[in-house]
Amino acid sequence: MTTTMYDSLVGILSQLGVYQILSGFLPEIVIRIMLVLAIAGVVATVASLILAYLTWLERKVLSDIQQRIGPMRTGPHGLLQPIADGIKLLVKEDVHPKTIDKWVFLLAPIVMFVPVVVVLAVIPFGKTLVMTDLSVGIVFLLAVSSLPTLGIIMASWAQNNKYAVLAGLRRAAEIISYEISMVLAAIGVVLLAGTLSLPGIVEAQTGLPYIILQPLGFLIFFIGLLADLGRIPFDFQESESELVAGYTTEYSGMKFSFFFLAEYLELFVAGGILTTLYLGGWNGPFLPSWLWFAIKTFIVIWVILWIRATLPRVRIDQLLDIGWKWLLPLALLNIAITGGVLAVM
Amino acid sequence: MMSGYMEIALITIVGILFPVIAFVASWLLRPSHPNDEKFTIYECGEIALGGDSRKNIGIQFYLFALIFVIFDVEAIFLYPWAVSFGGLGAFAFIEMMIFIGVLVAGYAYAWKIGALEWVGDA
Amino acid sequence: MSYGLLIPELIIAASALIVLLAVFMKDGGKKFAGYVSIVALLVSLILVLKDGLVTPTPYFNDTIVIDPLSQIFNMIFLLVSLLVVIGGIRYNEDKPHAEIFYSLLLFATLGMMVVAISNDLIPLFVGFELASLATYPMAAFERTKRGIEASMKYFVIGALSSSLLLFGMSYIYGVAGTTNIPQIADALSLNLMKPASLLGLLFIVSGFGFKMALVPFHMWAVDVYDGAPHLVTALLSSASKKMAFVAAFKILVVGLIALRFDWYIGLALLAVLTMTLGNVVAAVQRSVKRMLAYSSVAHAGYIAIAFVVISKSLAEAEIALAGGILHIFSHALMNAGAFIVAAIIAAAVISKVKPGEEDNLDNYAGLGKIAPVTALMMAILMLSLGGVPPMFGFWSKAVIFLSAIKADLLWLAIIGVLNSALSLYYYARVVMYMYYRDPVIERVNEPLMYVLPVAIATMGVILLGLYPPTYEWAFEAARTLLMMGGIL
Repeated sequence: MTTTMYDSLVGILSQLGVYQILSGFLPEIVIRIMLVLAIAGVVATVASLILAYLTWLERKVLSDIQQRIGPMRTGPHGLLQPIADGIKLLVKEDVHPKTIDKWVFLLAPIVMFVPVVVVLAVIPFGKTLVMTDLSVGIVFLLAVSSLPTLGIIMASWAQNNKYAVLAGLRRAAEIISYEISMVLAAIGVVLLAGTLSLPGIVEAQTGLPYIILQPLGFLIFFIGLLADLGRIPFDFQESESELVAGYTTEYSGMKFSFFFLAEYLELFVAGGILTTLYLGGWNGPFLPSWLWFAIKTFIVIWVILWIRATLPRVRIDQLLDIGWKWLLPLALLNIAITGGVLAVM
Repeated sequence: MMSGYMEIALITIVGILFPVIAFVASWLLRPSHPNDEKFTIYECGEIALGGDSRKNIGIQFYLFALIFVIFDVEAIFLYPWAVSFGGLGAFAFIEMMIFIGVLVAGYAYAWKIGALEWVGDA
Repeated sequence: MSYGLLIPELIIAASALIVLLAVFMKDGGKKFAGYVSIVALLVSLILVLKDGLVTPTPYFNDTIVIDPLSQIFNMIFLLVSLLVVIGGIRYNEDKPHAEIFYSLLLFATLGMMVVAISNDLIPLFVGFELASLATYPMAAFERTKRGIEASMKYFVIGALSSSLLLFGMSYIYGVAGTTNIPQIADALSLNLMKPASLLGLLFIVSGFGFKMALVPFHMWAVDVYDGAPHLVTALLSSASKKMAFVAAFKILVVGLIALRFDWYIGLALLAVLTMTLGNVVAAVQRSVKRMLAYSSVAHAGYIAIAFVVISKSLAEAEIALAGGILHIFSHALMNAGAFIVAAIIAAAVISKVKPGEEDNLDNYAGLGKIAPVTALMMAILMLSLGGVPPMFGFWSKAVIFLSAIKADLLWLAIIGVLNSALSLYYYARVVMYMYYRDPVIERVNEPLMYVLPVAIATMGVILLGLYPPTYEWAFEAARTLLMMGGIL
């Protein structure tokens, strides 16, 4: 059984003697709920801080590639920029048309944000840094990480704005085209690891990350992940040059910012997923496991940002062609090759 | 086997609390100066054309969605097979290839008759 | 373990996919798809005939059993599909996407065969759904307004009946704790009077009632049979409907359900209503297709007499079941043949009459002069449907009525005979039109691929009634069914 964050925390508290005091007057289940709640709060908060600085990182990377300097005024090298943005969005007036579907409009950012936070619970950030080790981890991960799309579609439909509806429809077509290839590509990993548990998959990659054994699967999964994120070259949910601001056209203030936050959190989570499934997770020599995870994740994020600065957006029919006529057959081929080699061996 | 799901439930609560707290805080802090112009639908700065935007959707979406459902179900069948593949051997591989082959035949047919074209006559 | 007895099903499944891929051929693979289907059905049919009287062989943890009952029904389904496919070669000459027609037809056949061989509620339902889903689009194959209307009606009613069936099955499973049909029989005998099992039975009977088109669940059938293309109607009324009968035999008889209840009055009412209403309404139809559709409802009523006799008297169960199976067989042949004849006439006159009028009885006037072969075969089929000796239709009906008489249900047999007499009126009217009226249309083409299946059906109708092994097989099938239920 994998050591989870809860187990580690209980270990530390027991050494300090705090746990014994607590168990003196509280039943075990209450302590457990309290501790896990605390862990969840810390994980979500740390992730929020990371995503706040991801926005800064994106600006800096993009400006660097485009030979600009990016934000410089707020703090040294613009380091306080995310905080300034946050305050600005917090006190923005909430302007929206009268013809919206009020409840769906309000719920959409929450529906988009919550699943991304939930995914954080199953990603192993380090050797003992995982909130929970589910026996169906990878299936849970893939299932929940595609839920935010529901928030996008809800948002686009609620606004009653033509640009937003178009963005939502394109997003729906996009997600169903790339989801399958992604899910099928991940089967190659499961075949090799023989387990669905994410810590188990990382464990199985000790010494040899699956990117070497599954180059094709990695490529398909990575492209699928870009589409899942709605990143360039697949950013149909936003298409700022065609659809104003895509599915966020009528949103402003805090509601808008949660879409924004969810997207950046997704970026971080995507880096984590790719690291876990293909780059060997927290495995690595010398450095502590969480640092290895962080390094690999940020390399992935950097590559995604690099792609944004380099590639143009594809057309919707090209998008569907890539998904259905290239990635899907290749993903099936990947399963056949992986399974065939394993069966022969 | 349901162990480990309490964490999921609790982080879901935390995840819901984040936006709720933020929305309430913003509701307390933000100004409100309503104005008829602000309540109109944004459409390149003009008065919105054609009223309701929730129109009928093209048939292509449904074709893609149907094929998606087929393959998504296939994927779910593949996971239990993949996870226990080590103990099943070559026969399981051949069986699964037949299963995939059946679906690939349907996929090839859909491709051929143009169900995978964004602009087509199928 | 040898899977030899499952080869017919495997052939049909594989050919259904091969036919679909014929679209990759240069000429669209229309001819290729048709001939592959014919070969596949023919080979499967021969294999089934070879092992007709097989000893019951279970497969896959007893979820599937191949026995004389499943074999005789497989034979019926394959034969009807074969007739339809041969007709389909001609029918599809001017249709785009012929491969869909053949592929759906083969999938429908496969679903029916799975129903026939299943010994468990799960494969039974899967087969039932496969056959239904494959036939919904077939009903709209011509994309005419009436065809689409028929398909929509069929789809909505089919979905309703499937959901009723599944709902009933879930109750039965809840009470019995198993989906294996013989084990359900054991479990249910202990829990018979629980409201849940009664409710489950009610839902299952209505679910099958829709597919069998028994009155009062018949209203969809005529519109669908009328609106669908002739060949598809032949398949629907001769095969798809018979599938519901075999499923009902399995669940109601093997599950001992029909026997445990004193339900025979209710079932008798259902049977009487079905045949009377079918015959009376058929008698006033001007459209031959509608007439055949209503007569097909009436014949379901005759077959339902078998259920009545079984629930009345166990001693006569064997002969009643055999009669039911025989009449299913004979009706499948006669009906498929008659609908294909209607297809010939409709194809011949379609340019000369208003849309929707191609099945009018007037078009059959003088057919004896302008299309002698078709007319002769149609006459034989009509007389057989009406129950005139020495055709197969007479013998099979006679066995059913005999079982009713032996089970002290003389009144039911008399109603049946009266109904037969009534039906003879409108069947003979077609014959009268064909031979005693002057032709209204000029010359009718008799394309070989349309005449061939009708000829096969006609030969079967003439010969099979006089061929003793048919009866042996049917009685063996009935005995197997009763043995599975533990009665024999």
